Amino acid sequence: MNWDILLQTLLSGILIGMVYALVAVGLSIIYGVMEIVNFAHGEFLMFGMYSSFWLFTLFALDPLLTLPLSALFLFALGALVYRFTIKRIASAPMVSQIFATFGLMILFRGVAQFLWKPDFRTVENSLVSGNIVVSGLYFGIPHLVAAVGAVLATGGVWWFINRTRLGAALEATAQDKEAAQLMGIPSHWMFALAWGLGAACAGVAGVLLSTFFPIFPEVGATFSLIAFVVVALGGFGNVTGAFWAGIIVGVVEVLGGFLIGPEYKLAIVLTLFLLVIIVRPQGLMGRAE
Amino acid sequence: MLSLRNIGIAYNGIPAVHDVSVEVNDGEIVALVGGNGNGKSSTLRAIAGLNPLARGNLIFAGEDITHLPAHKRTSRGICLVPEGRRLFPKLSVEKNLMLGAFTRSDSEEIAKSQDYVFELFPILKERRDQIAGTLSGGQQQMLAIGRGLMAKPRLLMLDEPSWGIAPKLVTKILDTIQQINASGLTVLLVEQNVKRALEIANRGYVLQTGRIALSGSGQDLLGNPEVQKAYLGI
Repeated sequence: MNWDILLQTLLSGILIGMVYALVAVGLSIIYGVMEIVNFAHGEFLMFGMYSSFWLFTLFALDPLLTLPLSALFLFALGALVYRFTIKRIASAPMVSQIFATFGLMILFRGVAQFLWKPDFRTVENSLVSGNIVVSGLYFGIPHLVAAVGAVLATGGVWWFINRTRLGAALEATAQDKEAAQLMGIPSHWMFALAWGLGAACAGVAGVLLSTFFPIFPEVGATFSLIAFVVVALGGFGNVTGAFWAGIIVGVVEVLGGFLIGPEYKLAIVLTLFLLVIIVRPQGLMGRAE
Repeated sequence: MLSLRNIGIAYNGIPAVHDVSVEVNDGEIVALVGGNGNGKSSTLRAIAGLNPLARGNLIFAGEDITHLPAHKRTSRGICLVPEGRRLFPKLSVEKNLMLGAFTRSDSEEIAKSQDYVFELFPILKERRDQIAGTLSGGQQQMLAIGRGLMAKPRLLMLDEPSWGIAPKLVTKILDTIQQINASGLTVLLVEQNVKRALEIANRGYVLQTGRIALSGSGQDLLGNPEVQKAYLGI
């Protein structure tokens, strides 16, 4: 056993886990406020990646610089998705809600394939590229930047929810929609906000990933699968829980891939998911209702 | 201040309230009394905008608010402290109070309201950082009333404020309601504790199977043989 490699693997698991956490936080906010599982969540991430790719390819704008723009774009997309689809099925049976977000997933993938072809695309030579070596350990700069960016974004979301008036109103709506209305908080605006924020989280993660991950229409599939595992692990509607769970999933994935074989990466993560569901259905940090 | 004109409320087409008319005047305490399932809560929820009306009109401060969404009624000055309190259980006492003032923007005035709430219920000041869901039943009710007052309402509606709290505290809560009313706030009260409710009310309405069976001053209703027989066990 080579300890350096093990440590290296552990660290890269932590780094990617921080990005997983951000994707999951978005999913978790939407579920927390509306109790709707967004199956099109990975597609928000995919759009984030493409927005970064096109701004870079067409206008030579670096992903790091266009990040706020992509975040705004995804926020608007999320809010529009709420306004024109989710609002109609907000009080529909769960099956309708599943079909609606599942349908959005297929639609978004189809749109991406139609407009941008199924090819793999990459962002080459952006501001963030290359490696650095710290005491014998290699870090890809894009991975490092993605992790730092994801932590900052997750921290920002935490701050918004816990420290601002609007964030408190969002949280209040998640806990008791009717009581929040009695406080004068308009539920529909809070739902739109949750969708905007949720999509922006996934979109920002997509931009951060775009500097080192291939971009293609189905890219969201893996990430949303992982996000479900993270959310289940961290407890639904819990930002702090999602953060730690993201890191756990990242480490389990990368370490498991290293020890058992990279082709089993996802299988290992999904085994973890099954174990959590069986042993602790409320999530590691969730409380039993 | 508030008039309910022949209102009807139905759940999935099944009527719960038929043709109820109620008047609440400025500065009064009005009590809606009656047994369980007679439409008292439904009526308060309809005034707050949580239940749509099947028929009739709601007039508040001279304005027809029948079709106004719930969240807009709050800024007009209507506030419901709902049945079962409905606090935000995972948030702190202070955050619950802050959310009560969501429609207001003047932070100095909001701070004054909070001081007023802490004056009425000093225990809330002591426990301002505690998570609301971990308070005792009585403290939760105080917080629910305090949260309602934070909106600086013109009409405060209370649905079963004595629900699930110790008898000693019931007196304290009802005394505080009287005190709040004495400071000029109009109160519409739904209470199962008919005797206590009518004692502090200027006027009362008795609801029976979704209709108004009797109405009159609090004292008259307390002396009414039908009320005594049905609700006071005399």
